[in-house]
Amino acid sequence: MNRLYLFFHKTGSPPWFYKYSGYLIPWLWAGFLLLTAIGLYLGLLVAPADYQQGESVRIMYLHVPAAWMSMMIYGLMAIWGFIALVWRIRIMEVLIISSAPIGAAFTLIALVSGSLWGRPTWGTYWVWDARLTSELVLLFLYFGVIALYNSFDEPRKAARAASLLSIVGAINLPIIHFSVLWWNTLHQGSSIGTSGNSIHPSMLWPLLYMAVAFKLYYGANLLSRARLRLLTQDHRKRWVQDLLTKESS
Amino acid sequence: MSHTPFILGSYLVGTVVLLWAALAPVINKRGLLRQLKARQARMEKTQ
Repeated sequence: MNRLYLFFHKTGSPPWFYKYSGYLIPWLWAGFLLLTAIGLYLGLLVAPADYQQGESVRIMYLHVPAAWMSMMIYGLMAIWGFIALVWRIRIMEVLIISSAPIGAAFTLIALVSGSLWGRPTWGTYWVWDARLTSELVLLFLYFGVIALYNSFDEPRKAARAASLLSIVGAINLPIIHFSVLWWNTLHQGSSIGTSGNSIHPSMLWPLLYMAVAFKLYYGANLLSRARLRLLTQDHRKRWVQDLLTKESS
Repeated sequence: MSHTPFILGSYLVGTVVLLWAALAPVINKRGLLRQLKARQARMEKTQ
């Protein structure tokens, strides 16, 4: 227990986090670029057209991983929000507010790409369908977390309010996931689940490559944003002054 | 109906949004570091 406490104490320390996350970021970017190249090659050039959707199925290699990310990031924000409120670990607060713009970006991509897929497939860009509407609500929740955080002058108070909204807003996640089962929607159900999948491997692999690539993108971007936020918040502290002196010399 | 504009449009939007999200912290960090270094230099001068 002592070692676990020590681990959290150490990794939660801003100078330690700043230093070691800096080593990790280039590797995450490299992994993202490599997997994206493979995923795009397989998805756009190798995978066949779908018998029903035709060539527009290629949008799915962007849309589905982006939609997964939009939900995963909000879920993480809710977990970190809980930890931040209960144990007051500052790095968790930083991770929440650094995640929100990335989550909003993925949600926007999921909505726009879904809309562009819907036009040739459903015959319309948008319907007020339960899945689409709940995903739009998720985008507004991300905007809400960002706006709420920025409405406070004191970062710790702002983070507590953002943590609370992250936790409350997590109620939307099961609504998004189960919307296709709970309501009669135009959006199709899941093709990949814990009990197996109904996709041919030639279409499944590019999807999985892109899904992992997006996770690496999130990791790299999150660490970059968290480092920037730590620098901004701690700019008067000794470790930042030492860092600046080291960089200047 | 040709699907190409819809596919290209999706990937274009995806690329622009992800690029913006990735570059924003890099640009902001450069600005912040420049500002902090200038402040540090000013303080050293006055001491």
